[in-house]
Amino acid sequence: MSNRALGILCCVLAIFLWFYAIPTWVSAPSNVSKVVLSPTFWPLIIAALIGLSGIYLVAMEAVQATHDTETLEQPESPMAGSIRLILGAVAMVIFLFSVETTGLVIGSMALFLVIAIIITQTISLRFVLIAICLPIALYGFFAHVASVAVPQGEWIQLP
Amino acid sequence: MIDNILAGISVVANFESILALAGGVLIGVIAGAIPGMSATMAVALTLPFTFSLSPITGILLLLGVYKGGIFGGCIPAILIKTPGTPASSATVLDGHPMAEQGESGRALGMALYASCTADLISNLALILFAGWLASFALKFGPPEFFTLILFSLTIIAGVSGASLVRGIFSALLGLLFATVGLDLVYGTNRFTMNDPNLMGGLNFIAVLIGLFAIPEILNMIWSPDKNSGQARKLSSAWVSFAEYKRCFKSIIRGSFIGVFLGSIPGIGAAPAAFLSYSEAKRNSPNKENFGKGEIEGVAASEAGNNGVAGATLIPLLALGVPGDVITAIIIGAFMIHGLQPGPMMFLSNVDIIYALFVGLILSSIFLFGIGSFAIRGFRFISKIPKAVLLPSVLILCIYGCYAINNTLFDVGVMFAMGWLGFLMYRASIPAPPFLIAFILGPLFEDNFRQAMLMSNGDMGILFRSPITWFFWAATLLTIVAISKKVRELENKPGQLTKDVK
Repeated sequence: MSNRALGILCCVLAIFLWFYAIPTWVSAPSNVSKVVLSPTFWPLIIAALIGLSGIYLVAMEAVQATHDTETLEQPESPMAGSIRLILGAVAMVIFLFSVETTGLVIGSMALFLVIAIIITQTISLRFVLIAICLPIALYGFFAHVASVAVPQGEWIQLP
Repeated sequence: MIDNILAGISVVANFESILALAGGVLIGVIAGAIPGMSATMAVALTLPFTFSLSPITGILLLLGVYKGGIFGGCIPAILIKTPGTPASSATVLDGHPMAEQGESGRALGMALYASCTADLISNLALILFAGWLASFALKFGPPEFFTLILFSLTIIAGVSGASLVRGIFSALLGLLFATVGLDLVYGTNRFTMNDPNLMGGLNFIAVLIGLFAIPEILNMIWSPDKNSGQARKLSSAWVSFAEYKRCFKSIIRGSFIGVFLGSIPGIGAAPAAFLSYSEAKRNSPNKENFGKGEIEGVAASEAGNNGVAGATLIPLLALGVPGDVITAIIIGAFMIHGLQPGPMMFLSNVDIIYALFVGLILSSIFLFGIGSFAIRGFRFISKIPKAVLLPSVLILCIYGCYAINNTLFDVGVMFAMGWLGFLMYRASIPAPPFLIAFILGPLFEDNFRQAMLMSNGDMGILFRSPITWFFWAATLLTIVAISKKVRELENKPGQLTKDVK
C-alpha cells in the first residue's frame, strides 16, 4: 500500500473516530471537572495522532514521491489466491457459528481438513489422521489436565 | 542474598519445574528450527498451556521456549541458509558457507557453545543488575511511571522496521484497541457496544495469537509456499576446544554487546548479532575470511543474539516494562498468573524472582544438552511440510484461545485480529508496535490519569522529580536519534517499508 493511500486511510479513520465513534461509543459522565480526566480524552488524543500520521504520510509522498517498493510474495494467480482466502474466511466463520452444535473437537477436525485442502488442493491419509488425532490430543490435555470445559456439541460426548 | 537464593532453589527444585524448563527449551529449539515458526509464535502458542501450571512452572516453561527459540534459529540458518528467527540472520553469513564446505558440524557446534556461554553471561548480568534497578524503581510514583512508559514506547522505533510512521500508526491502533472496555476511573463504557464480552477489554492472548500466528496461516492460504530450501547433511567433524578458545574473546565481547543492547528496551537480538559480528571482524586476525566460512563469525553472531536473551528480562523484572516483543508476551503471562512484574515484585514475591534466576541458570545447561540433540534431529524437523504444520498451528491457536476464559468470543477476537494482522502485513504495517502499545497502553493511561488525579489536572506533576526529567530527556534524545535515522532512510528510496514483518 502506498504512503498516500495509507495516509488517506488514516485521515478517514481519524475523522470517523473523532466525529462518530467516540461521541457514540464512549460514555463520559457530565460532572467531569477536568478534560484530561474524561474517558473521552485518551481516545481523542489517539484519533488526533492517527490523523496527524495520515497527514504526514500524504505530505511525505507529495514532497518526496516515495513509494512502497517492497515486494511481498504473490500467488501465481491473484484471483486463485483471493478465492482461497475467501474460502478460508468462510470456513472460519462457519466454524465459529457451528461449534456449539458440532463441538470443538469435531469442528476443529473439519476446519483442519478444510484449511489443508485449501492450501494443497489435495486430500491425503496423513491429513485425515492428523485432523483426527490432534484435536483429540488437545481435548485430552485441556479437558483432563487443565480442567477446561471444552464444548462437546450435540453429536458426540467424549469422555 | 544467600537466603533468597536458597528460597529460589527450594521453589525450583521439583520435578514439575525442571521438566517445564527442559520441555520449554526443547519446544523453543524445535520452533526456532522450523522456518516459518518463530520464537515469538512459539511463546504465544505455549502460553495457554501454562494456565493449569503454578506461576513459577508456567513462567519457567515460557522462558525455556524463549531461550530455546533464539538458539534454534541458527540451525536452519546454517543448514538451509534460512534464518529460523531474525536474530540468526548474521549467522547465515559464515554459517552457511561453512556448511557448503562440509563443516556444518563445526559451525553448529560453535553456535551451540557460543550461545550457551553468552546465555550464561546474560543470565548473570540479569541477576546482578535487576535487583539494583528495582530498588531504585521503588521511588517511582505515577508521574515517574508515566514518563518511564513514555520512554518505553520508543521501543516502537526498534520494531517498526524501516518505516517509522507505519510503525507509529500500528502503535496508535494498538493504543486504540487497548481503550476498549470499561473506563479505568469512571467505569463507563468505551467502545463496548454494550456487549458484556467487551467490558473487560479485548483479551491479550487472543489479540497476541491473532496478530502473530493467524497471519502466517492466511499468508500460506494466499500464496502456498513450496520452497523450503535444501538442507545440508550434518558433517561428523565437531568443534574442538582449541577453536572455542580461539573464539573466546569474540564470544565474551559479543555476550557483553548482547547484554548491553538487550537491557535497553526495543533494540532486540538482531542488531546485537550484527554489531557483535562486525566487532569480531574488525578485531580478528582472520578478518579477510569473514563471510567465506569463518568459525569466529558464527561464534560472534550467536554470542551477540543469545547475550540479549537474559538481559531483556532486566527491564521486565526491575521496571515492569518489556525489553522486546517476546518479553511483552511474558509480561502477559505474569499477569495471568496474578503477578505484576516490577520493583514491588522484589519485595512481595522475592522467592519467585530468585526461583526465576535459578531457573535461568539451569536453562543455559539445558540449552547445551537439548541443543546438541536438536542439531542432530533437525533433518526430521525440517521435513514437516507447511501444509501440515500451519493447519495444526491453527487448531492449537483455537484450543489455546478458548481455554483462556472458556468462551468462543475470544476465538472470534483471535480470528478478527488475525485478519487485521494479515491486512496490516499486506499493507506493510508492522504488527509488533501494535502489540507493544496494546500492552503498555492501559499502564500508560492509568499512570497518566492517576498523576492528573493527584495534581487535580496540573500537568506540572509530570516534571516533579529528577527521575521524570531523566525520562523526558531520554525520550527526547531517542526521538531526535530516530528522526535522524528516518531522514537518512527517506533519502534512500526503496528502503521505507522493508523488514516490517
